[in-house]
Amino acid sequence: MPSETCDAVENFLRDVDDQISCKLGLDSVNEELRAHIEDRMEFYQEYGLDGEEACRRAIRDMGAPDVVGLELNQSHRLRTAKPLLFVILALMLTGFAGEMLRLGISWTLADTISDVLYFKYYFWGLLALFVTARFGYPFLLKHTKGVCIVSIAALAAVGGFWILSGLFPGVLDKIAPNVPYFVHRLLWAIFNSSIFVGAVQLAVPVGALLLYRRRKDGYRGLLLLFFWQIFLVLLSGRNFWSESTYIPVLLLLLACLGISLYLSARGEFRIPKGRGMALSVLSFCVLLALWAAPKWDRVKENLELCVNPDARASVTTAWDDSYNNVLIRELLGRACAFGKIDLTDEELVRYGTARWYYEDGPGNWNDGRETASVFDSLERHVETRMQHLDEPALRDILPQHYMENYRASWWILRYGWVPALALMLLVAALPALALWTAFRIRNGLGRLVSFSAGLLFALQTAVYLLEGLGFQFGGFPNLPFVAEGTISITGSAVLAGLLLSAYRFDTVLEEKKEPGATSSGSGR
Amino acid sequence: MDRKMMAASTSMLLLKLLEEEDLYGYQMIRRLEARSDNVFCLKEGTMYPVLHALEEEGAVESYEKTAENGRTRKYYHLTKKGQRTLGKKREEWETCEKAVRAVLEGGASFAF
Repeated sequence: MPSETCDAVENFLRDVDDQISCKLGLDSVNEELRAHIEDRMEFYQEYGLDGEEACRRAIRDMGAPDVVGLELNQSHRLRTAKPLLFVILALMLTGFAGEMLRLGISWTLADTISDVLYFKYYFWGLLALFVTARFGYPFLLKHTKGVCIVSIAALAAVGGFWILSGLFPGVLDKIAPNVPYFVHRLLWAIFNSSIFVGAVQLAVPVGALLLYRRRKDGYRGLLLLFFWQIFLVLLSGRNFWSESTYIPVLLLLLACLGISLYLSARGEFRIPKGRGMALSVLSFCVLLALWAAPKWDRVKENLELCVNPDARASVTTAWDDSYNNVLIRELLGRACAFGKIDLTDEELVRYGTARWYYEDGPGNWNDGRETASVFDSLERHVETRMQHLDEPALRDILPQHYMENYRASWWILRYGWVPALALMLLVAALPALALWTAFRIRNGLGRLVSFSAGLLFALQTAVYLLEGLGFQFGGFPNLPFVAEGTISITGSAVLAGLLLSAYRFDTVLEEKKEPGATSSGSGR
Repeated sequence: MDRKMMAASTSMLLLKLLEEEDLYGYQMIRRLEARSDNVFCLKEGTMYPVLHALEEEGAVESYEKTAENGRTRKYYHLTKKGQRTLGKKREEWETCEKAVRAVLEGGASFAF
């Protein structure tokens, strides 16, 4: 194209761009319009016009650039998922208020500052939410490969540390005194169960990224996701081969199953849909078996504890999770529609000391089946509890950490079923809106990452509510932004921020697809 | 043809073209011209806002493909939602067309 012709096209495009308020992603718009003008020029040139005249006519055919620009401005703009953002902020406020009520509000300035500092995770969460919403998706789009590599490297480093500490424990003991304190703290935190929940929250979208990048490589994508999950399951086994990792691991496996089923159903893999779905389910079953097999007895005990906690009463010492499940179910049956559960002082003492659970009559413990040692232990337990129950209240009879683990039950018992159901609807609105927003995203990568976030929110919420209503299995997941917070609030904020960001930039930033790759996989 | 009348039916016509096969913008313009015997000659630049709006509402999806001459084209593909939208728009159009025809031809009238 002659240079003056180029100038005319570029001037046209510049005039179009001037009318579009969001300047991000204009390259893609310009490229499309430029290609159109060039096609039209070729058409005119085939009819014998010279380049300059062909260009002039091609530009004329496009119409007035300001009109084109103004109309493009209607769809080329940043969007905000307002309902989702509102629910996230409302949940953060609910969680924050719940924590304040749990610990007791003090109205002195010094105590208020101290309380506010204690809830730093909410402030970190807010910061993470807005930073991720503002920069998350453009960064992910630009550095998809880098994010995958860094995530794998980080996991490999932690895994390497785990293997080393197992193989050469003495060496680590020698090194430890020379390691700076903050490195010590960091390594400890990596194996802490709370941060493991956060790690799982971030590992799920990373798994989705890995799968998405390799979705056209036949079975390799599914295999990569399989190994990614194995890696994380092994990581959970280091210090916490215990109940505290049951739920995070289950969430990880279920979320990854959901992601691979979703991509299979959309025909994104270059294998038949049915085969992709069958392989996804098979890999889930294999991973579940690999995870559960080494500790099957404990998993079975936890299943019994969840489904039929009464059956474990005779082998329970006191105050454990089967007790919690029985107590919660018993109390929920007596809750009111509105207001606090009605309990007499005598009942409060019997529930508070756990005497109601073990004692079938005066001096008759668990129908006389308990051994002498257990009997003594129960008596001591009741005596100890009695010392703290001078003026028994509802909060004294609920399981430890009740307002963290059993927040839904607490709402029901303290405020009644109707207000509690309203709060639970607010909680359920997060996954519902997250998934609804995700399905409105047109870019494949943004939609999948958002879907993985929405799915994880849905699983966390469902499992938390089920466990909190007296069906506990192992540890608790976090209720996003509301309970079991600390580091997981940051994890939830990053997930929600990614979702908001993918939606925000969806109509502005185009995902660069490799030739032949499509977002819907409809076999084009 | 009157611009306003054209604008009202542009999205339906574009969806109809995409029902048959995936096309890029310039191809759609050429098809429209050819099929309508050059009656539908819209300002070409104004087609893109319509396409982008359809994409935003999920009626079409786009993907890039490199042509033999090395030029990258942005192809549009009709989604299931787009098929439903097309069906609805077509029904509306047929109802409207029937009503306009009835008025122009001085057909059925009801006295009260």
